[in-house]
Amino acid sequence: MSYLIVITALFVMITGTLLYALIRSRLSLKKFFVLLSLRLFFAGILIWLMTDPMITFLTTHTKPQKIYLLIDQSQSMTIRDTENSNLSRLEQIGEILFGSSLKALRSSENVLFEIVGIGDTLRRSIQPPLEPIAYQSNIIENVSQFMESIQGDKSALVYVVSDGCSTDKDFGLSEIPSEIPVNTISVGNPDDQVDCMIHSVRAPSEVDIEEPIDFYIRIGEQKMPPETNLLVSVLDEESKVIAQTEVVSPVKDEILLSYQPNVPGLHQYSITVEARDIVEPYKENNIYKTAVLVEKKDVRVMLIGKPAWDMAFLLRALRDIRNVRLSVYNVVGDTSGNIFSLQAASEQAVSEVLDQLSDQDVLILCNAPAGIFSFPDIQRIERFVEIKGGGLWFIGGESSLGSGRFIGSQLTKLLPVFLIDNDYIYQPYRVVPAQTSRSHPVCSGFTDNLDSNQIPPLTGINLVEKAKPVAETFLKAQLSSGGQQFPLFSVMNYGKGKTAVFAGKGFYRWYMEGGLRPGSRDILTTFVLNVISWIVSPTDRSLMHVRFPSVKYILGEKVHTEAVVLDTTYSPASSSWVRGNLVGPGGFERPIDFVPIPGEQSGFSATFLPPQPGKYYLTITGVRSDGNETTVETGFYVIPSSEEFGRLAANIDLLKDIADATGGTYYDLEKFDAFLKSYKPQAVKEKVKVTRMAVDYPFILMALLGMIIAEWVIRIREGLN
Amino acid sequence: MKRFLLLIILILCFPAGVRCEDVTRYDFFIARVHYDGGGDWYSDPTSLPNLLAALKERLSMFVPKKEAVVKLDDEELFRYPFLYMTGHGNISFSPVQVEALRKYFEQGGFLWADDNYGMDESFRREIGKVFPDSHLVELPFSHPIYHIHYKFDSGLPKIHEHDGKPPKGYGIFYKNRLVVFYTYETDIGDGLESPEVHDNPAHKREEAVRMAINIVLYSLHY
Repeated sequence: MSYLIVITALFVMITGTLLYALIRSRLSLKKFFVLLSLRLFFAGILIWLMTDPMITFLTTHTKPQKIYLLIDQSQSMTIRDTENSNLSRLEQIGEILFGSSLKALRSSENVLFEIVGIGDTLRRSIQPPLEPIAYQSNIIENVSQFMESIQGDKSALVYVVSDGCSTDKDFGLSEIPSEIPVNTISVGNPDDQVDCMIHSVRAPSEVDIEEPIDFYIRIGEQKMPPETNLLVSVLDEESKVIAQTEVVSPVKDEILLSYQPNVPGLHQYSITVEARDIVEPYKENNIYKTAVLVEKKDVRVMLIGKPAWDMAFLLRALRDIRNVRLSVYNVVGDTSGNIFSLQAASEQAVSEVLDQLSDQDVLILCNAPAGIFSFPDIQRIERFVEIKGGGLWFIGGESSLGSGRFIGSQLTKLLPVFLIDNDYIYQPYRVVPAQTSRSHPVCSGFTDNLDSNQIPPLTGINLVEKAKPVAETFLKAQLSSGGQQFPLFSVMNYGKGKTAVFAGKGFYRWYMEGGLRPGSRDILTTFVLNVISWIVSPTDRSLMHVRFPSVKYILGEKVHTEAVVLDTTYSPASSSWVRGNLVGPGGFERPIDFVPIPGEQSGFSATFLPPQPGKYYLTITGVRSDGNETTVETGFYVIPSSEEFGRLAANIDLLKDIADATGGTYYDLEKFDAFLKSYKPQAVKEKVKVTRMAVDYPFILMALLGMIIAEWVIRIREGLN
Repeated sequence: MKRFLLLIILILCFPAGVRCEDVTRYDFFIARVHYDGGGDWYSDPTSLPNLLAALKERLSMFVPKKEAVVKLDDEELFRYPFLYMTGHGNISFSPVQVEALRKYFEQGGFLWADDNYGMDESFRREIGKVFPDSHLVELPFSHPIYHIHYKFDSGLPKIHEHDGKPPKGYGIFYKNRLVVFYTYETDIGDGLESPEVHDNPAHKREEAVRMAINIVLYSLHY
């Protein structure tokens, strides 16, 4: 392009020179040079404009004064310093900023106010009323971030209003940019007051329902008179005192308070301290909240059966499993109505034993006949499964199932198989894993990779007619010579609970002989562990595995969760997706996005930040390609950090240091109020460098036009047109 | 030819002739250990049938009429979770038998050894080969084996006097499970025998039956 400009310029100049050279004789020397100069100037300016020249100049500009008010919104700002007023620290600020005295200032065109909340994070352009919504007080960190964001706006006025109670950890004063002064204003009483507080609490996140929750409480004290009685309490969610003790100040050691929860679930507890006969100015740090998940970690298994090797080795397998608590009862007759309690070493009525069923998770009937149960006993077992969600596992034998005269009993409704009379036969049937559903949790580590020849044959079998349509069968039995296969191990959901039938006898041999061959192992313990674990696991989690690492988070901590969606064969479901919904305190609700986990089929994860303390419920829904859904709900608590409550007197030294480090001014709240009232807002004048394209300036075009017109006027007057 | 006939006769006269019946179909069964070394492994022949009968009668247990007999190097050893051994003489375990017995205990097996007077020294020696690092320890009277069904607050009952020593119950534990119970200076086997064999008083025979039932039930629950 540039060579075209040069050629054009040369053409205009040469033609202009030649033209005027031809008529040189008709013009005076003066006019000749005027015309030639006009033409050359015109060509020169034109050529210059063709190079897109820019023109820069300085100008003076007026704008409103920007005033930034950084206001601490942390929890310590809720403190009412009794000596000053009945208003909280934050309310005192609100009264100044939004009261009538500053109305004129705030409405002035010469001032641009912006209120910025600080605490846990920066909140730009907040509107009144001021709320103590931050649960941390990272003053230096927030001020540093803000000052970086307004760098370049040197006329800005920045005021930080805070009590100086800081939770900054990794930030120091040197990190605040000092280009613009930071003015600081303190609110709150700087003098230490008589104060006792919950300094810290150690408590488990999860406990077994039968274990007490131990709260190890450390009391903090400030100016507390010696021999002051302090009442330390633990309160439940309904503010009912559940544990309490009284100690005498000074308290140097941790205090232990224990509570037996008894009710499973996610519970929040408040730990409080109260000084007797002392008026405390600060009460905000007298309470600490924590959450504990109370769950049945131990699986309680009641086993009623005839003393036999199958029962003996079932017990050995159960004892090999951690967290199994056993109650064992021997059937000593077929219809006595009494069973022998191993623990009590005495006979007990069956109905008396079943009184304890409500505390159990699984009832195993190992070759126990129907005759020992009365009609109310049977009804109680049904309620245990259907309503309480317990598990019922029938194990076969000559006194069990059809041969145990269970036909006609209400319990047949609960069984996953149809029974026939006198179904027990002594035949060495071999065990054949069913080909389907090998990825079911019951088969994990058992039939999924076990050759049927590795399973010792049965010593006898209850030939059940068939499995119910809603049941699943994982093991079948067949004679070595072949022939019909009979359901051996089948399971079914019934109401809230689950039932299982092992319609055979002789699995003591699985224990004795299971580990004899090279590479083989004790298959009975694996099998029993799978069955018990599956029976006690929540029904909704068998088709979607959810990993939720904790039930208690500190505010500001991110929550991470993962879910794997399975199909009806318990394999990872193809083309599935997961959605989540989080419900929290105060009507909070928002969807949670799950994203695929790389390399994990049907695995999805989500990470999110709960916004405020309280109890949350996360509903996770796995959606399969056929539209079938599985929903799992899990709960967790978010606990506020109490770090800034260690010392509640206003820390004016910190505020003075911030002002000193940046060249700003420190005010107390009254002086700041006076300062604002007397402040005369003035627009800010500033010199601005303006850069524009030359072609955008009209005078240049006018000059060009003037030169052309002048040339033509001279030419017409000289008769040269 | 005569030798062959003699062998046939000997086999037919085998004292515990229940091997032809598959006892494993029963709820509970016992295998008597046919050990080497010259001791009378077959002594107290009516004791175990009487114990099995008592289990059937008192606890409605589905049991065979007689015990099985097994050698420690039999492949079928692992089909019998409860072994019983008794005698008056020497016991000897081969290295293969030692290895098999150790594996048997690891797999969940239980042995009740009842000193019929005279097997103490050799039993201790041979069982020591199976568990070189574990020794027989005397069980306290509070142990469940003395209380699981019938109460024996003073431990083992004294059934048959030999040297006037007190009866002692010893055990070997493997992974916290009692795998060997050794009854010494009590001779429960004598007490289990039919009344006409040793002419023991009725209450002694009852004590023997009760203690033996406790041992059986213990093996079925722990």
